[in-house]
Amino acid sequence: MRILLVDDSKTMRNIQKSVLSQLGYTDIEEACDGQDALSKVGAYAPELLLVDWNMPNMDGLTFVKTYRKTDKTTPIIMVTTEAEKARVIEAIKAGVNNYVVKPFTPDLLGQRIRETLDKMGAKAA
Amino acid sequence: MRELIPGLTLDIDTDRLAARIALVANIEGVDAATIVAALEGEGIARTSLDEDEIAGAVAKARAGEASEAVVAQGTPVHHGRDARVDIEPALAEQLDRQRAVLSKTAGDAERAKVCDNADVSHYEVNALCVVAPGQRIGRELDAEPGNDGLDIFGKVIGAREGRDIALKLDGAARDGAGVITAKHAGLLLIDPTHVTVSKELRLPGAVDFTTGHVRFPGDAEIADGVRDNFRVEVGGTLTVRNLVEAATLKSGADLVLERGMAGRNKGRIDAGRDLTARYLDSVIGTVGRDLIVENEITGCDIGVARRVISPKATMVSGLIRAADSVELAEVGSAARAQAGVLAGTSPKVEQTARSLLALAPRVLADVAAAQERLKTLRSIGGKMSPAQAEELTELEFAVASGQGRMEPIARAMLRAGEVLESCRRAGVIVQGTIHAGSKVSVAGVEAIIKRSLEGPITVAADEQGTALVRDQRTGSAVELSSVAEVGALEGSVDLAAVRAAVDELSPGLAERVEAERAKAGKVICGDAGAKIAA
Repeated sequence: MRILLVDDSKTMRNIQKSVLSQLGYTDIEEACDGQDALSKVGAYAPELLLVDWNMPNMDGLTFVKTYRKTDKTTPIIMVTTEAEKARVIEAIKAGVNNYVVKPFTPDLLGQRIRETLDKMGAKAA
Repeated sequence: MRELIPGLTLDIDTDRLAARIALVANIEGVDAATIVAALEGEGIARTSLDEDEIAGAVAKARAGEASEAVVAQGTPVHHGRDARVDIEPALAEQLDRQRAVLSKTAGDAERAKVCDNADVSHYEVNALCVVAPGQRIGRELDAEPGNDGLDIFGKVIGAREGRDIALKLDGAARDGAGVITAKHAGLLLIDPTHVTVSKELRLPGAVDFTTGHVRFPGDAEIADGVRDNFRVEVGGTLTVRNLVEAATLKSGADLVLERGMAGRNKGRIDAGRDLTARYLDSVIGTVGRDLIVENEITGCDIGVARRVISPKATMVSGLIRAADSVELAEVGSAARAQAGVLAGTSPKVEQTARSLLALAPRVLADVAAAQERLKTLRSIGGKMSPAQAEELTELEFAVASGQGRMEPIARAMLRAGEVLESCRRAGVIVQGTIHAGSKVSVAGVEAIIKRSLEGPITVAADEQGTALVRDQRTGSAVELSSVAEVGALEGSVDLAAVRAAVDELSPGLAERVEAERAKAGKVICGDAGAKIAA
């Protein structure tokens, strides 16, 4: 499965990569902000995206809104420090499928990824 | 040349394909018709005569000039060609070089031609034609028919027809278009009826300037020796029947030196499996399994991954390190040459254990520091800043990944410790004398023998780990420290420290592993441990 990680923190991307690799996912592409992600989605065609909210150049919410104009189905998990209910709702409305609030444990991130993929699988079925 | 009539001579080629006449100047009473009649009288077929040439020659002679002309021509025969392999040009050139090197009858001069190429180093002559799997060798060509010829007397010269050949392939394959490729890597040998890719190389001479360095994927046998500074690298077993000088030998499997090696401290060996030799002198290297020497080992530095089985050999000087036991006839000399025999030492495993011992406290400290910082951050209370949230995530990950590394590190340490423990049970057996001044190491201790000991004796640790010297005839034993100056072997890992680190990283792991093995029916001890070390 092709997974795109969008986060301005390389450490955070490495953490996510490590969790994904433990879950058996190794085909991973990285982007350092929303703009970078938009330039990569066409060629890479991800099947899952993990997106941070606060990033330079283009934030995660703007990226999700732009991306959803062309792709309505690929699951997106927002991984962010934005924990307020209003923000979560805003993200869901923009097209996010699941939400992980920082700080998170590797187990929690793994659980959210599995949940999301299971839901998408069930929908597809 | 024969005179047919006065002033006219005839010359016929030996192949009977052409006839020439010569006329003297101002010849009288001879015209073209006379010459034609004379030639026919000689049996030359009218159909092969060139009457224009005859007339020209007559006219020239009548004009007062001596003349010559080819007056009859036959048709040459074209013999057919046998079926054959059109070899790839680069390989054809390589095969020419190889032919001289592999020929048992080729003289030195012929062999020397092989390296008569000023553009390359004589060490890089590359005289063998070694092909890779799938490499194109050439294309099989069908037999070609012949065309009969006709001599000037009208007689047919029969052409030999090209013969079909049932070309046999060994280690090679042909496709529908007759293209021949190598099935596996090996030496290409081609004769009119066979294309062979051999997994074995038999060199009738020495490895020297005629062969250059030898690299071969299979087994190799060298009938003569290997000269100074040459390299022989083979994937299988390498056998050298004569002396090896200060050369470099590498084998994927066994290395057999029927005469021996005089390395002059520059010769290197790297045997994938056993090394068997009559003697070894000033050789450096490694042996992947057992070292078997018939006569003498002098001034060598050799690491052996399993045993030294040389009960008739004297180790005069130098150093041998073996992961398992060492058996020799004699160690050292009355002249107190520096001879060292280390049994039960596995530098790689010792190094691994040392690295893990150094790594373990760092991992423990990193996890402890991350846990401490986590505790502090969590105790702050109130709403967390985004930076704190990110830091907390990183710390959670650091703790989880650190803890995740502990068990694998502990398991690797446990395994290394077991291997080393098994190694340390290995001993040194000497049938004759261990001379005073010799160094013997067993069970992680190093001993300089104070007075010569007469064999057969065994130097090994008892169950408590105390190094003993045991007389094999009487069975009596004395502590090694009573006959030698004993100290810890440099670089030897403290197995108690390994056990303690394993416990700290993963409490109860040794018991869990034992239970797992009991369930799987596996026990690591004795020879099995030595095999792991090897």
